[in-house]
Amino acid sequence: VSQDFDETQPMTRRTHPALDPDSLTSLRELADDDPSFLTDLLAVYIQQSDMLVATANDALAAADVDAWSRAVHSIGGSSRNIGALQLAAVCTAAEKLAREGNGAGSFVLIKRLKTEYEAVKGEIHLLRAVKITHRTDGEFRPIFHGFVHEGR
Amino acid sequence: MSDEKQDPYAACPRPLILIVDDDRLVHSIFARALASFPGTIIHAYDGPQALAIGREATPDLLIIDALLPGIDGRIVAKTLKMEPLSSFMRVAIMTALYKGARYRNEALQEFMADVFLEKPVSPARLWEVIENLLHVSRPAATPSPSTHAIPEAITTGQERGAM
Repeated sequence: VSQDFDETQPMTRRTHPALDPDSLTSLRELADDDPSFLTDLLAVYIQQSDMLVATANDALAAADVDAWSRAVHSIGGSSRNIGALQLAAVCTAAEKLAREGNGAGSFVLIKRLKTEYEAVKGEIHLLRAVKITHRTDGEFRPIFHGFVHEGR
Repeated sequence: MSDEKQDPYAACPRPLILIVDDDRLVHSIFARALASFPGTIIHAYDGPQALAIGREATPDLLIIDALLPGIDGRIVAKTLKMEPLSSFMRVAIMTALYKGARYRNEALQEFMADVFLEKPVSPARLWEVIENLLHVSRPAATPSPSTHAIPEAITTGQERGAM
């Protein structure tokens, strides 16, 4: 999964998962035999990121560059931790634009950020559903096999 | 009434690590990775809290994010390093923002860090730092804690052993 983000390219079609499978594998290895570690971690991620995305949105509307920059930095950091690498890349691009004082670009990126975040949340919910299946019938199912998401 | 202050960290097994980050995921992942750490792990979430706990607990190792609410993590690290009671403390500064040679040198020289870590920090890298700075070997088997909610302010090897 590429970590580079090109803000000049429209995001019309997702051809890779929003959550990096290798990162998820690492987290599962860390979880060892504790099945709810990853679920709990992702729940914390969503709880934390919901607030941060709202903060970023408000900060941009209020033209508060520092608050915007801090919020997208935090979203990027926690996204990187769970393997949401494309979202992290959007956040890195947003921080760069904020440093350059590019307000118009920031308004473009908040839309990308929200779209990408929704994709991440969607995959987290899917992950939870698969996890329940895995726990009840003991059968392993690949989560991201052939995953294609139509973006805007 | 006695004026003598209680030391809430006096009974904590050493070595003592203070982990500081405003990202709760980092605390959860580090707590999980360090479940078998034989000493004490303390968690703080912003600069002023880190400074206050650092002064009271005098950690053996401070693992701190550079960009924190309240006070910059690098300033917290340097402030504690310059105080006699915590001057022996080892310091690892983490960052997802201040990357590259310039910031690495700045962290190591100006902010008195022993290690500069670019985020995300893997459990293996975390243990490597601990082994190098505290001379604590990673136990062969990692016990599974019965809970992995957001870490409480203090977790100790003794408490984990009692779970």
